[in-house]
Amino acid sequence: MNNNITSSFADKYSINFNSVVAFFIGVFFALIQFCYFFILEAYVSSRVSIYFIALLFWLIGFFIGLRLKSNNLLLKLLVASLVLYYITLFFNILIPFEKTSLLLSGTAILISGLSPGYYFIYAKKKFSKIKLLFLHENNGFILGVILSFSGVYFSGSWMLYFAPLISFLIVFALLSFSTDKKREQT
Amino acid sequence: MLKSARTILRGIKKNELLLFLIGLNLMLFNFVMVHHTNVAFRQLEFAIMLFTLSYFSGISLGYLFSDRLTEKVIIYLIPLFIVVQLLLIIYIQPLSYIITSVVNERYGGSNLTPELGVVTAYLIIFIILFLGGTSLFSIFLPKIIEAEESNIAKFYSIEVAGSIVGLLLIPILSSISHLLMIALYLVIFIIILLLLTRNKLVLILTIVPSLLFILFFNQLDKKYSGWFYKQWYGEKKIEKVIYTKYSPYQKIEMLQLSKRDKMLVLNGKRQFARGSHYNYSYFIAEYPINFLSNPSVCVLGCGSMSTVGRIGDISSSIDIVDIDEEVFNTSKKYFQKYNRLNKLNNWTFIADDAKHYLANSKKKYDLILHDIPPAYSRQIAMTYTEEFFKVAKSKLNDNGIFSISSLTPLSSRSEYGKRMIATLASVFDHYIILQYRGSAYFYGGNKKFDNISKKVLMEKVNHKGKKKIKFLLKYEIDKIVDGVKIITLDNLGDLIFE
Repeated sequence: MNNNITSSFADKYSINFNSVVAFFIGVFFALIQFCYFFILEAYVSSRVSIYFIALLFWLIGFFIGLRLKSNNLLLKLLVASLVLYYITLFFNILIPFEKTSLLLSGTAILISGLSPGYYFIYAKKKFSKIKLLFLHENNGFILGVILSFSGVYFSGSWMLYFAPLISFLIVFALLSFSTDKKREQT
Repeated sequence: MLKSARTILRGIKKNELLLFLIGLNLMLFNFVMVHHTNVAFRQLEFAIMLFTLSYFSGISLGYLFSDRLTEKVIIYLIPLFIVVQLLLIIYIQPLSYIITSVVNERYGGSNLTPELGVVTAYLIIFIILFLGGTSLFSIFLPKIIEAEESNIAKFYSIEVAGSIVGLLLIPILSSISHLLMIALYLVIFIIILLLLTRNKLVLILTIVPSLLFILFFNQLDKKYSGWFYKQWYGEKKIEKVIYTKYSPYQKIEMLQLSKRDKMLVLNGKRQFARGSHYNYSYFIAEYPINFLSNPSVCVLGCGSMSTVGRIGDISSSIDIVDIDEEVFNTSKKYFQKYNRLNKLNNWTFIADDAKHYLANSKKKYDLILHDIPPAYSRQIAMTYTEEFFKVAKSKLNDNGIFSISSLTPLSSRSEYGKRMIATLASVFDHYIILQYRGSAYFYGGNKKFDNISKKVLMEKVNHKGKKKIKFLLKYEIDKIVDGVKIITLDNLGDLIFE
């Protein structure tokens, strides 16, 4: 009986843990996406076309990410997102309002967009119902939107420099913990 | 060709088409509603946040209920959603005004609750958008994936493809007409409904309000906007809305005033009325030109371009820079009396973001006018920062002048004006301030300002309100702004929410 209780708790815990991962990964996606928008807005142009281009590249990346077939790409894609984000940030700060930066930024955004698309493929089996995956990821995204807006109003540089990194580290820790847990179970 | 189209259509299954159209409509909904929310809350930054949060919260709500609502219930919800959304598009501006005034009248007004009405309006609009916005669309994706054995890659990518197409359509549609975009949104909504049901009652309840909306949108939009402005500016002052244009950036309106004059309104906020030509435009443009000879001028932000009319004859060239070409077109048409663009031929219009233009322009100017509205939104606030003023300074010729108005008195409790002047003083080496009524006009960059007396400054004034003008020299300005925190990209929110 004790075993049953433990296993049911473990099952429940496992679901909750996956929800936490989905939630924080949603926060990370929102922060990185909105930080890209803010970089372009502050260091390239506030024209609406810039916003459209950024969103277009993000969605194309997302679309391709959903179609990726390889396994175990998530962490690599997340790291690539983060690295490219910082390259874009520093390039735009060092050479602001540069027309060619849009090409670099667009490519970086497209590649960063791969990870959210791929995440849904990666995480689908971890949830009993697909709606829970969507729900928790989107709730995290909402928190990320709130953090992005408040950050950019009251501590612009700090937000652009550190928020994506911090949220990435949380996601990284959660994913590592999840892998360790899996190994222990095996 | 028809045959091949039919074959393609037959090949597309219902669920795929449904998700594609939902992705497309989510994008159109976003663009349409963010415009109207912005107008309702008069371009306040909170409006953008409110809409973004309601958009994504609505999506979460849809996910949550995706397996609890049957298809039959969803079908009956569609006409309800359509009606709520259409009513919101038309009435969001008067609705937010009514909520604000009623709540403020009954419960607000004290020091503790000065903004209670606005907060209530925000909350109610948020709830309506949260319940009646994106939630219906987001029900379908998890529902279909669950039904079709978890093929998440296929179905999610179809919805994303729809969003990509929607995003590509927006610039095309918005350049033609805002109504066309709403019409397409409604047509897609009806196709979505047709894919789900052939129930006549539901179809009628959806199609009839949609058709009525398309037929009467322009009249209703003008009517209720006019009602709002009458309440806001006074029944006697405003006659009606004579022109409306939705640009990708804002809603541009021209109001007919009672005294045969006109008022330019951008996203519900007054941009220009007659008085501005005689006071604001004189001080920001004509007065500083006294220190220059046949100058090259750059006007950042066009508004009515009354500044151009004031200095057009005494300038060698005028570059007018505005992010929104539609504002330029509207003012060119309705404010010829003030801007005289039809008579002048030394001006050029450049559709660009002010900071992007200045940073990339190879030209330098003798006079740069900052004629951009107050910093109530993020994009605009960026042109009030140390970073922006440095770029502007770098584009001035030797002894060139950067002219800008604080729009708030330096002596008021508000820190807005003081912080702006502190920022300017930290960037420019030579400067003076002219104070007239509630505004402070800052002129920076010209070395002459260092050794000039107030008497000489006053002699150059040619304005009927001369007696009310006061000047502040550099040492006086430095005292006023001593210890005041400057505005940078790091603290834009201080300015926006002040």
